[in-house]
Amino acid sequence: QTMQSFHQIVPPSVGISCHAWNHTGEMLALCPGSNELYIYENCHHSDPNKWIKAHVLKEHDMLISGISWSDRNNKIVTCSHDRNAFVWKYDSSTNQWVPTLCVLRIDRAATYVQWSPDGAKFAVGSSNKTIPVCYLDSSQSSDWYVSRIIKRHKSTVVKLAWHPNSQILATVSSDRRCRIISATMNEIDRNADSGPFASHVPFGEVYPNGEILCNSWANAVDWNSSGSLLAVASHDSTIQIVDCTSNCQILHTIMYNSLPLNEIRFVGEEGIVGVGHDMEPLLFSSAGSGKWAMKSKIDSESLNSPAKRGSANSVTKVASARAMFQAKTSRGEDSANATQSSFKTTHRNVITHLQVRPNNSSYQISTTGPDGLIVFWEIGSLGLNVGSMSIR
Amino acid sequence: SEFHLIALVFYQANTLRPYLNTVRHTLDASLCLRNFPSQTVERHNKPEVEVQSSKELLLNPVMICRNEQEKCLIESSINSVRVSIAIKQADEIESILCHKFTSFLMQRSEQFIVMRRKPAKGYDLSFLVTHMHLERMWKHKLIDFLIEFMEDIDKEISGMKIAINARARIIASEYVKQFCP
Repeated sequence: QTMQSFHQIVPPSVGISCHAWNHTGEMLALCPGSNELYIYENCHHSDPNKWIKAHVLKEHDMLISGISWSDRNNKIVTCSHDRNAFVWKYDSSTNQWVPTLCVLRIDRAATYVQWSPDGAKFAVGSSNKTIPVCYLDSSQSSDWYVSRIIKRHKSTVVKLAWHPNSQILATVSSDRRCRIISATMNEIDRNADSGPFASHVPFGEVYPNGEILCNSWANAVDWNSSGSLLAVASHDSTIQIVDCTSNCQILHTIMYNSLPLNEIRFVGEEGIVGVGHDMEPLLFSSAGSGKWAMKSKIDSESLNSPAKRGSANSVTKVASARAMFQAKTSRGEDSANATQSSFKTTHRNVITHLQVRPNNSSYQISTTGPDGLIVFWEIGSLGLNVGSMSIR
Repeated sequence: SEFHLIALVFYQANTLRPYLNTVRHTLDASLCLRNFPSQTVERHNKPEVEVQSSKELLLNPVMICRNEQEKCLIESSINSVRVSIAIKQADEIESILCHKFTSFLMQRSEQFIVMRRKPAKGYDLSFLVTHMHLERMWKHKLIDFLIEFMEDIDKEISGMKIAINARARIIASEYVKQFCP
């Protein structure tokens, strides 16, 4: 049994494009489908209505497509379709978040942004078919972020994932490929670390055999916590598990029977949770047999339990007839149970974003999408070996 | 030949459900869209199925045919889907009715939100569904709307044809009554 709770944090007409937690889980940054950034405080409170919208930050011109909150330096980086990224630093003396411009040198939209695990640099995916990797340049009188550009891609870079050593990037693009690229920068990294690979490769170059071909657009990617395995989800409802310690051999190709995924995360060493167009998390696991397969859909199976269906029988005939006509006029549905049967899931629209919610008691994930809901799922209760979680 | 007629009608009715079910499942898979900013023009967001500027963003078009005349073409891309339908036109009257009816609808395409003002080449009516539409509307309801539309348009045109024939008969008999009381 999974426990879940949800909150309509912004109206469904607005939706949420992306969200991120601070390292304690007490503050939440989200974009309500516009150019604004909302920061909520007091998020440890169990009643989400008691969360305080403390800041509304307006610096971008267009939709904010990515937010990343570093747990090392407490800075927030946001990227937007207006080709810009800003790093926000909290000034406790004025209780303000102060933006710093980043020189990305892209002339198309930015699609995704992520701090490296050590908080020293961040990488931005863009429709410019490039990835600027940015770091703080304090050599001038004022601080700003400068970038080095990774090219190599033939189409928009949709997402990226940092290896735990902060020097390797796995990127997915709409040119149907996942690439494992070196982001070792002499300016920042003291020792070149090639991670699971034999020898290191200069900045911007693809590691040997590090180009993984998919049958359709590559949608999501994640490293496991030790950085040895890479999971790539593509639009043809497939997840490929790549073993980077043995020459990027594809260990398994999971072909599941549902709609494509938008985000995936490793849960320990034996599980992957994915969210996307099915509007609910899907769980994949290799526990037991050692072979990866889809294990379950986390939402609709619990909602369809007999206990829930049985309650409809106790409603009187008149009340149910009235409900039926009301549903017919207001929503165009033709049965009293229509709402319950038309949405078997908590989310009412595709899930676009997933984050691990920092919480000291259990492994919880939060999902958001265009329906404006933020839903929390207890993954820790599913009996997987959750082990050491890395917060991304 | 009466038997023939009944058998033909029965057969036609039999292909409707599988046809619409196939269209429904194809739409369910194609309508997995996302917000995808343009790769070619900065700060723009265009339906890629209409612009066709980057081939890697387009999927293979799928054509679902009920028979030689009635078919449905579904062209998908990363952020938009174009659904074009060819309506059954058995004789000249149905052809004229179909043409007038579809142009009436297409002139008012803003009311339908997802309808295209001009049909794709070789088809009678087209819809364009973009990521923005799926954000505002429920996907399963949108697919219900498209399927019901395809079902109802045939019934509407048959209904109009029957009405024309009935009206013609009434007018003719009234006219002839002048001469043969």
